[in-house]
Amino acid sequence: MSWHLLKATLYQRRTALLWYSISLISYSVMIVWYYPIIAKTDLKGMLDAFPPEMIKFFAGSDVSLFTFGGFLATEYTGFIWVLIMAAAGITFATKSYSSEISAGTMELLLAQPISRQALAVTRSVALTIYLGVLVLATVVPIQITAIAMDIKYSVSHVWLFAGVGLLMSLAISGVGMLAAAASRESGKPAGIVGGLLGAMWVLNFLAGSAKWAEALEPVNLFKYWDSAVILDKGIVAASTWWVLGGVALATLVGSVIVFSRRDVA
Amino acid sequence: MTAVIECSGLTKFYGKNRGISDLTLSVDKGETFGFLGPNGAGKTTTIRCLLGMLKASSGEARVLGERVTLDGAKLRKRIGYVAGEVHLYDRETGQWHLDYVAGFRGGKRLLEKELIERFEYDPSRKVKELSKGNKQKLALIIGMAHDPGLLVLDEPTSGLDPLNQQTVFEVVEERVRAGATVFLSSHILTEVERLCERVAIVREGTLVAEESVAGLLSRRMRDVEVTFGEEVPLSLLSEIPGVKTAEQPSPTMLRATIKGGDMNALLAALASHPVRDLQITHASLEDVFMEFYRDGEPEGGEQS
Repeated sequence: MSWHLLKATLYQRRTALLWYSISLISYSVMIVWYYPIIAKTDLKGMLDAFPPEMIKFFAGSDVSLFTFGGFLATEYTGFIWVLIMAAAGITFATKSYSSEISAGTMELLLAQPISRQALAVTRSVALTIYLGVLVLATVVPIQITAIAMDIKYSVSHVWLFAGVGLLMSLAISGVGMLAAAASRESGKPAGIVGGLLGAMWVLNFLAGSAKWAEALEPVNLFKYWDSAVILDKGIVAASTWWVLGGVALATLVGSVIVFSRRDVA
Repeated sequence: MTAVIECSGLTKFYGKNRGISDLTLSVDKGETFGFLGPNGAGKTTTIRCLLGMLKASSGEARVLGERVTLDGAKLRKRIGYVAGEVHLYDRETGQWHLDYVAGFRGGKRLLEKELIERFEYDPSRKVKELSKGNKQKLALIIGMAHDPGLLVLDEPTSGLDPLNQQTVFEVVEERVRAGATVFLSSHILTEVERLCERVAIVREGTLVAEESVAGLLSRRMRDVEVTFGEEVPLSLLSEIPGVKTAEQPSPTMLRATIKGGDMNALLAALASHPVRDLQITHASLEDVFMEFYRDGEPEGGEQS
């Protein structure tokens, strides 16, 4: 790994990191601030009329909207947050490889005395740090606002959410890194990963009502993402750690191998 | 002489498309070697194979005694590269770029300050604010700041004004005097003629000539203009072996373009009439270069 490249990579992503962080901080504060108002309203009866699949589609879980975790999942962490993190991670991935190749700046980098493996490992480490900062930009404001609003929540559950959330983001971005390491066009990897995620999301929704979709659940990353249960109950299935961790590791290692062996021009 | 660059049967295909084919050449230490060819001839592919950016389909390249692989980080420590098309990070300053590349080389920037002064370059400005010429200056400083043993220059004076072109020539000549080897790919034949001792000419991915610039020029076209003291027939020159074109601007004057190194037939023909004035000029490298491409097939040259 190259510390110099790590610093340079993160420095070059400074503007994106700043804007994503501001967005996540704002969203986190706004949602938590809004929670006590919703919790006091009498919408439960109306929401009970929704089919569980619908609730699951937005929240990724069938837990109550009126718990802290349930509310956050429905409004934020179940869907929107994953989208934001995926966008940030996939953009980072394309900028790490395919965008640099198509822009020609990879030639400047590869003319320097740094090995392909060191370059690719550094990019993966930088991605992890980048996503880690965004996770912090999510969970720290959630906790500060919750304390300020006198909302009862579990600190350990929020940090557990941070851990699984980072792993989920890395798994999605890892697919992006793998696609970007193999591509020379900047938009193509984003399209591939975006399409794949969209298909997974729809499958996740259909899994509750269609047998064939249910059969595909084990390969669906969203099956392992239930932020409401993590935040409310602090429960994470062992398979979640294994699958998300395995996908993240396999795709990031894959991106190192692919980039180390390909032509870059 | 120790070879700094050795290509043996170097071949690169992009799928079914030819990049370079069976390229064999050698560049000695301390030499300035010109690499000529039109667009698409395979010059940049060759350079990228030499730098380990592309993996050769077959054959081998050795640079500074080491076999080139995709992972030649150690090797690239001793190489300075200026790309044909300069691509930099628009949002960053020139100084950021200089720090960026120096960071990979352990902070080695022996010539940076000197080159900045000689090119009168302002490193504080962002790349997006720079003209093409200033981007080229930055690329040159990046490529040469660490005083590499091997300089690989792809169109190094592209976009520069004549004064800065002159500075590039001087810097390159100084580096060569200091022991560096230069591999220069260029379309600008006057700079090749000035800087290079030997050249290779590639056409459609294949080496069609590799020899010294002096040798290439001396064995190539000569333009001959003779003024006689009496009227002479055009056949006096047009029938000499090797004459490509002959014309008679006036009854006492003949002009011809002669190919080949043997001048005896010409001198014998001239001796039969009183000669008032004689002018023989070598064809420029550009003429030689064009000769290789004019009719699709090279008319001469030696392949090695």
